[in-house]
Amino acid sequence: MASAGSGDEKAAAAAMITLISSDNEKFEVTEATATLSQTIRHMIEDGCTDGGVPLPNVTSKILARVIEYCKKHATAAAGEEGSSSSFSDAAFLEVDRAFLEELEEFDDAFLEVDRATLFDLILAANYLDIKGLLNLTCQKVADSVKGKTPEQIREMYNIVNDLTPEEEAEIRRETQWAFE
Amino acid sequence: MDTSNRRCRRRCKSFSSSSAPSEYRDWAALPHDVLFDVFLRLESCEIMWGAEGVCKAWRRVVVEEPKLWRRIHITSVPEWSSVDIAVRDAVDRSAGLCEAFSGPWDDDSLLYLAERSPSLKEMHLSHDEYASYEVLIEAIKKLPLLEDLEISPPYQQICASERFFESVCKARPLLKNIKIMFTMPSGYNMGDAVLEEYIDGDIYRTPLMLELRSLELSNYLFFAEALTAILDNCPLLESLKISGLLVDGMDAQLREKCARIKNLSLPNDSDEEDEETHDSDEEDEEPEEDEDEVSEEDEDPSDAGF
Repeated sequence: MASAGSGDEKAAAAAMITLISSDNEKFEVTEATATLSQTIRHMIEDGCTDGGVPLPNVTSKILARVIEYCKKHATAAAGEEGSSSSFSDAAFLEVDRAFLEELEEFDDAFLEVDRATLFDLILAANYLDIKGLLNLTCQKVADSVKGKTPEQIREMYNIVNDLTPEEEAEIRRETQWAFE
Repeated sequence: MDTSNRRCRRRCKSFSSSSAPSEYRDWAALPHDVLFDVFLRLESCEIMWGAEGVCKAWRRVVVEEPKLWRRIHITSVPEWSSVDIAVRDAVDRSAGLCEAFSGPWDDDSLLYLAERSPSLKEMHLSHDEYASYEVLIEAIKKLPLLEDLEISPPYQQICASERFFESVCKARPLLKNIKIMFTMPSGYNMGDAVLEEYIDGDIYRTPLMLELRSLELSNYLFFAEALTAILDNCPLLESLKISGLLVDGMDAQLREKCARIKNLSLPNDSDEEDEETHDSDEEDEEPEEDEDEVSEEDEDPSDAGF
């Protein structure tokens, strides 16, 4: 797990970046994978990645998942660039479609996590500024609260109701006749 | 798990995902930006009677972000509340930024929306038999940027009272998309409509609509002359879909005019015969981009699960 990027075929040719989790585990990834994170991209641009990038807010468990996501999507981005520069004939479109489907399946499976992990992934995606992952996780939360009452949402996410009765009444937006 | 002795904490935001010993996570403490991102994915009514009532932190995001209300989308209102309360509240929250409204309406709430939403470009109103269509025309006149209008007026009320389609066009001649779905009362068909509304041979004429790209009229009763007016007065029209009844027939000249429309669908347009009376052509309608919004008016507000 410590060298998550080593399986990549292009690893030898590509520049490698070392990411260090909060529990001090090192992950070596390609620059293409790492720069899906805007935060890391800026660090690379600023030239402050020598000796590894410490990520004090991300545990090794979550960082491994985030890297898994970035690797998959970095490959997808590279594939897209490749096909758009050549003739986009039917065969290429077919490949593209199959790839997108696969990516969607990957995303769906990726989101099969418990709520605590989802929470950590959201914070990591937000901190590392990974747009795709943030979209994916925020949509998962949005889908889970759709059509739910405040009580149901609180129960689902273990949230304590700290609203005053006045605020709650305001939020219910009752008509005058509903009070009677 | 200890992060306190990490040397570098640059670009670090104020959270720690690793400090909690158990699997508990404080969802109330999600960063403002993240909650904003989540709420942007909800319909307005799901925010109002859902997320907003969860806790103070979640409510703060709802109250402090007018951008959440740029697109107001209300599919249902719980039975203890009202359309008027819901729409006014959403409009107040939008602080004048609302660009798209989709949902139910009544006279007061529609005027409230129109007077406070100078940027409104898109308005999709679901069917309301108690609303006044004079007020609708008044509201349209107040919206200088309106481009896209979708409404479902009840058939009888409109046809009996005035030339509705024509009034809409005159109220806002720069509309780009218009969709009017006349709703037929049950047991009322096109044949009845012909007898009742067209006995005097009254014909609706479209005034000059320089920007109109797409026009859809459902359950519409019209004469060839009215169709000619549409084709002559809407130079940019690309899509024309009419279901209902063409009372008289089309001649060769009119067919030729129709040929320039890329996306054309007319009742009886494949047949010289026009005596056939269609009760309803709605099944034949191509589903348009906002199919979900067409169906929402059938929803029972009490089904919302609030």
